[in-house]
Amino acid sequence: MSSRLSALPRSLGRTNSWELWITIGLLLLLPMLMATDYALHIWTRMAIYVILLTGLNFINGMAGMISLAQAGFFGLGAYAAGIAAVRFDVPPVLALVIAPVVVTLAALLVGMMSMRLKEIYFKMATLGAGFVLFLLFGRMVELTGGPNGLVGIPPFSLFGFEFTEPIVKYGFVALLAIIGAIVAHNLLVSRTGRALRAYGASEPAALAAGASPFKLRLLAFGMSGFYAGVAGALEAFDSRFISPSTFDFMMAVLLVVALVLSGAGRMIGPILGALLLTGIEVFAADYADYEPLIMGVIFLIAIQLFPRGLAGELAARREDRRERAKREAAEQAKPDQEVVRA
Amino acid sequence: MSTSERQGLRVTGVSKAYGGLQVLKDVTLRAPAGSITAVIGPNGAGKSTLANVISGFVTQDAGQVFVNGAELPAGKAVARAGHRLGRTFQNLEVFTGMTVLHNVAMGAYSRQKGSHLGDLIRGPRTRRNEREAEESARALLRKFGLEHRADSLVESLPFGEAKLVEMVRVLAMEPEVVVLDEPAAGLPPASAMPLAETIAGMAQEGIGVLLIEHNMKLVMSISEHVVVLDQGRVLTEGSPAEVQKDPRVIEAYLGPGHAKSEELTL
Repeated sequence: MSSRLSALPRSLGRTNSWELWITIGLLLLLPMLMATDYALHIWTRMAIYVILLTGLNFINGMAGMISLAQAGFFGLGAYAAGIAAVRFDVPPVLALVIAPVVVTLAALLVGMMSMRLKEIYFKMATLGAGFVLFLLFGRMVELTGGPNGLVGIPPFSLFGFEFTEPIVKYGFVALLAIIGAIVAHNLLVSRTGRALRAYGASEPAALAAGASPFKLRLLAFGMSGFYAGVAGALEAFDSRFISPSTFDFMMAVLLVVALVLSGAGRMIGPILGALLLTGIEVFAADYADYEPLIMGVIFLIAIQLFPRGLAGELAARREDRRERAKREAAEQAKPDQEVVRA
Repeated sequence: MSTSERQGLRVTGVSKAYGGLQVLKDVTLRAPAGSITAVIGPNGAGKSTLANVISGFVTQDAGQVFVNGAELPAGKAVARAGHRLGRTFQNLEVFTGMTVLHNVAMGAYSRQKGSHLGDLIRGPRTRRNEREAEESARALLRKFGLEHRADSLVESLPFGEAKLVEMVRVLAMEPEVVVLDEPAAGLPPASAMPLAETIAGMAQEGIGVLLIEHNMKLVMSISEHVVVLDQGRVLTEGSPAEVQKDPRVIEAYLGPGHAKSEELTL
């Protein structure tokens, strides 16, 4: 089997409905654990990350390609929604539609240009795309407010009802995160999702089975852009202020690392990754100067301990146990091994 | 499809050069429906390139490839499934990280219609496709004695079984033509018989099988027609018995002192 395969997490193919249920369960239960305004604010951020990472999971997980453009797409979504609302007085609900459309188009464009590149060049191309966006956020001062950020973004509102109550804000974001997770799960278990993963596992065999890599990967890219657009718009309406530094290189790397550590390609990856990101944000805030150092150390240790990601590691252990049990059963039943299998 | 339409595979005048190296020269052959046609030849004869041209992984410089009379677009591997042409690979190519069932279902998906959008919202057609693909995959696995492996990850299977999964995946495409690139490569001798039965079974179901193989015993025991390639040309062709007796074949393929070499290839 070719060496490319090692990039793909194990056990991707098993039913992962339970992972979807855990994701939904956590999104519903977490605010019940702690429902102070501050806690709800944190949970809202986490739910936004769930959407963002679910989007990244289409490329980095299912398609097995490492994209570093997601932070830039996240920013583009935030600025698209923010600029529409602040500069053009577009109602927030419409801005929430515009942002994902804009980012999807941008992602399709970046995807078309970078997708045929081999791994490392693909990473560099996506990193470049993210960086160009980051620069634009800072330089297009008239639209974006430049390095000082875009201020005065209104809260999200629907039919005149403003989503300012923390619980309402959280509920809305969590609802979108749940819908997003269900759609991602649908794709993961469908022939489209399987073909996408098949392509990552064996390019020639997937081609021979009629799976068009270009179309599939473009779809993955478009989907990741759409989710980043939604997440970005929600971020803009949640923070009501956005500045380029939120969407910088550090963020791009953090997103990828958080997803890989939690289990790229698995349904449970995004929520674990989101918890990790939010946890780091909360705890590192007290030691802001040392944030990069703390994160670096955490990630180094985690990558050493769980090279397959947290979920991947657990699944692999389960798999190993299962195989060992099978082997033992087979040993006992020698010489007629095959009969025992079932 | 009526039998008159099932013409199998036809390759006419295929040539391919890499720089100054002419790998295939005007190769013409047929693999009729319902029979096994073998392509043999020494290393470097152009067998793999021929398999790659037929399956669209390599674009030929000249010549055509037809399945049931329809010309296949040159160099378009992804379009082959639509023409019901399936292939296996010399090196095991399976979808790791996926179960045996889903590996085989990938073959079944290739003949289904459906939209990506439908898959996102899990529409009725997606559900129907899913059910049909898994049912047909399960039926095939049952037929080949792999049902107990359906939910195992494909990488947990022994090599021989994984090879079989690859073949079953191709069968799930309900192919008209199958190109088998060295199916016995890496298999222990004990697996040769089940493999021969599997291949013979394909032909019995009306598939045109093109068998590219080193293992002479396998080739001679199951092929109806043997095409000998040497230095990119069709050296000769005929029944296994005819080909085996042909002095040119012995010269080119088995080399001088062939009795010894033949033993090696068995």
